[in-house]
Amino acid sequence: MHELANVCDHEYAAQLQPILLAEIQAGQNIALEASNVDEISTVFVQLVESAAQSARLAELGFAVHNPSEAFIEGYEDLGLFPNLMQIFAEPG
Amino acid sequence: MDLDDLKQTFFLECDDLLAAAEENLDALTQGADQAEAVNALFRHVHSIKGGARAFELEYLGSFAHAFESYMSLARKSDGPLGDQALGLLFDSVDALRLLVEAARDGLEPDRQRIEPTYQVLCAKAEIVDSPPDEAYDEFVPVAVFDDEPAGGPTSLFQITFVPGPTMLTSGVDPLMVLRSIKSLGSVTVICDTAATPALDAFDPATCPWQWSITLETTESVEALNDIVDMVSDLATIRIEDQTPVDDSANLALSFDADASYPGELIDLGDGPQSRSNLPTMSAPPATTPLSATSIKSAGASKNETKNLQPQSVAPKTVRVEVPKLERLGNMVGELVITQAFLMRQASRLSFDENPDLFRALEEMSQHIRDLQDSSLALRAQPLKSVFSRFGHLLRDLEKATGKKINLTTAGEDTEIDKTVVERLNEPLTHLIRNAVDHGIESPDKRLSVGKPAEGRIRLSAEQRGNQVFIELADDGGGINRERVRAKAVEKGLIDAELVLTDEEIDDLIFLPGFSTNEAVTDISGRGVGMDAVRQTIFDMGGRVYVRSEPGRGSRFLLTLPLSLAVLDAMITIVGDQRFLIPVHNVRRSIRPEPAQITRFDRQGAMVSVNGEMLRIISIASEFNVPGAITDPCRGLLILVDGAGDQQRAALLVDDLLGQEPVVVKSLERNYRKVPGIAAATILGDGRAALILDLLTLGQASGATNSTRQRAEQALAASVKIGGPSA
Repeated sequence: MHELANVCDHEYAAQLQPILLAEIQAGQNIALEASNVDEISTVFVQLVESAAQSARLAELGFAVHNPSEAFIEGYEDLGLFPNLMQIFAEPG
Repeated sequence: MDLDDLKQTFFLECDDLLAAAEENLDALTQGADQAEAVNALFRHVHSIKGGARAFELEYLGSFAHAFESYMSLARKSDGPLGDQALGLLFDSVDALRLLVEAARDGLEPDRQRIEPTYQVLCAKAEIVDSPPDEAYDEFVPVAVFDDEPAGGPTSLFQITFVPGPTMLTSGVDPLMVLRSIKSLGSVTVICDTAATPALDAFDPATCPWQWSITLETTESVEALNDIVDMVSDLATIRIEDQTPVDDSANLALSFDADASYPGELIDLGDGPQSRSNLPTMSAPPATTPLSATSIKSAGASKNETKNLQPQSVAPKTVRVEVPKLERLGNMVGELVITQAFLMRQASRLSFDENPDLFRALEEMSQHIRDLQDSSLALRAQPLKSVFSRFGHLLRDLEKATGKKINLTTAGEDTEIDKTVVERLNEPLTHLIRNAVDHGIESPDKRLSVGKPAEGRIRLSAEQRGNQVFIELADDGGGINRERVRAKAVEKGLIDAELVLTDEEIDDLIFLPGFSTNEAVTDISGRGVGMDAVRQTIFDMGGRVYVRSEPGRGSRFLLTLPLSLAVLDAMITIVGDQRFLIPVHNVRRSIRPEPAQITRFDRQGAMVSVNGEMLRIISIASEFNVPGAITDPCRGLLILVDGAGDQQRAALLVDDLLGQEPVVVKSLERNYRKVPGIAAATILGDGRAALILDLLTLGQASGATNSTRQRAEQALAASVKIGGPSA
């Protein structure tokens, strides 16, 4: 499980991209823990969406756990709330 | 354009919005339509709030929000706003300006000045649903708009937002743009993610998405354009006004299954899916048929009544950085010089042999004049932005002094160079403070001398030729000449025995360090005297004149050049030098008879013109130019106004070459300030020439060494400044 940083910005997205890519190429399911996210940017949501798409194509699991208010708001304001629902891991 | 640039653009827009807000408040106090003015004010504050939040300027955003909430109450009032409410609105705009300025300058806002207003706004905004109390009784909650419970008529906009390739690298997050749009009302946002790349092709510098946003808002399209303007270089944003024309028509069409919605609107059952669905979600949503609501919105839109032609709302204005305008002005100036050079060369040719050349030159001259006018117009701004601030100032002054003042303005649409507009606020503010503090009497005193209790101040402007005249007149007590004279003597500014005319005594108030106030007051005694007013106006190439009538009031006349960049000048010859005199200072020229000349030991010579004795200032002596004519009867006398502390004078030169528009080049910027010289220029023949400063001309006459040095330095400097970059 990747515990996401407080600030999920452009730089953080660039840092996380090769890590997620390596895991998908290695056939691993991806799980993101998003409870501590205070700020989120469009680029980071792009990264999550790209990773989710690649995981789906590779028939791997992809889930976001405990998205914080800021994480949800980011998705909602970008008009991507339905997309978040596709990758949201229900509690329990 | 990076984020900082956008922020600066936002601050510039704040300036406009605040100026417009002040204008609206001013209009309110003068009986303008309250609903219209209050709604406009609401929009201005709302726009500031949206930007503040987008740029995470927390305190500014919170204040604007409180102000906006209070304005929501005002929008519901159909009774006239009382003094208390108006006062709060004025204070709020003031505080908002302080906040904007602090944010722009990266400083901590002055909370001591802002917080009291903020607290009052918060307190009043929170009593929206409570029974009106005493403080709130000015508002009678009645809807301003027909059929609208709150706010203005609702508009529906369909917005397409496509980030450009440089948006992310410029540090601008599309999320910020979307949130700014969201701040205007209710939105449905659809993101087209079809171009999302696989993770191995993920590029953090590129945004592959685009958005379709439906905005339902009570804001005008201008508010939306404010946001568009901020990112216009970085994204493509298209706005379509889809406001239903008639609700009943919409209802009739609302279940037309064939109606199509522009753009792909994904409806998730009962409208757009919200976060409240989150705990129970499971299956991915699918695109579903259009809902009745969405069909209704599109069914009878304004666009449809126009045969569904997309209506693009393009911004009517473009912001341009001042240095770019200055560069354009300089280039036009260089063109004027080149044109003058060509005309001079052509004048040596025969017209009959070169008729086409002369016609082309004439045509070119006309084009250059038009270009010059257009270039000046780009920099011109109406004086309204300055005048509109004074209504508020007067209210404050009334409070502070207990005096009643009626301010009237005229000619506020007169336009003048932006640089002048920006610098006019301080001197005009001082003149108004001065008029209230020293000019207008107390209501009791006014009544005792048969005047109405309410004093009157009139601020007016008009353009005459290349000059703008601004006049500030009051109907107060006028200048107390006895007191002014006594003060000037006491301060050692004039000799006790000196005989002065009334006008000369009035002019003493402009002397540095002069103040008749025994105690420095909060109103006008702020350490900035009338000399500073005159200096500021003078620095802009203008003049200040005062005329006063005891018991009846004073008039201050400010004359300012329309542009600081170009000047109409008389070219004179002195020895082998050229000296230029601003045309607006020139009355006429004469070749005097010996009988007209009177010589004095100390003051040099005077010339009698129609019974008026004018001091002769020899330019040759002033600047120690060798080989020049020194006998007034052999040379030419140029009669000018505004010479030597606003007095008329006769300038002795060898001859007059003609009149020419010249591009003013700052001597100060290129060399240093030289008394007697206002600026320099390059003439049509490519020669450098000095433009005389009539105000300081003649003040040092007789100091041979210093004048010689000054002339040499100035002339040397004038040679150095040649070239287009000067």
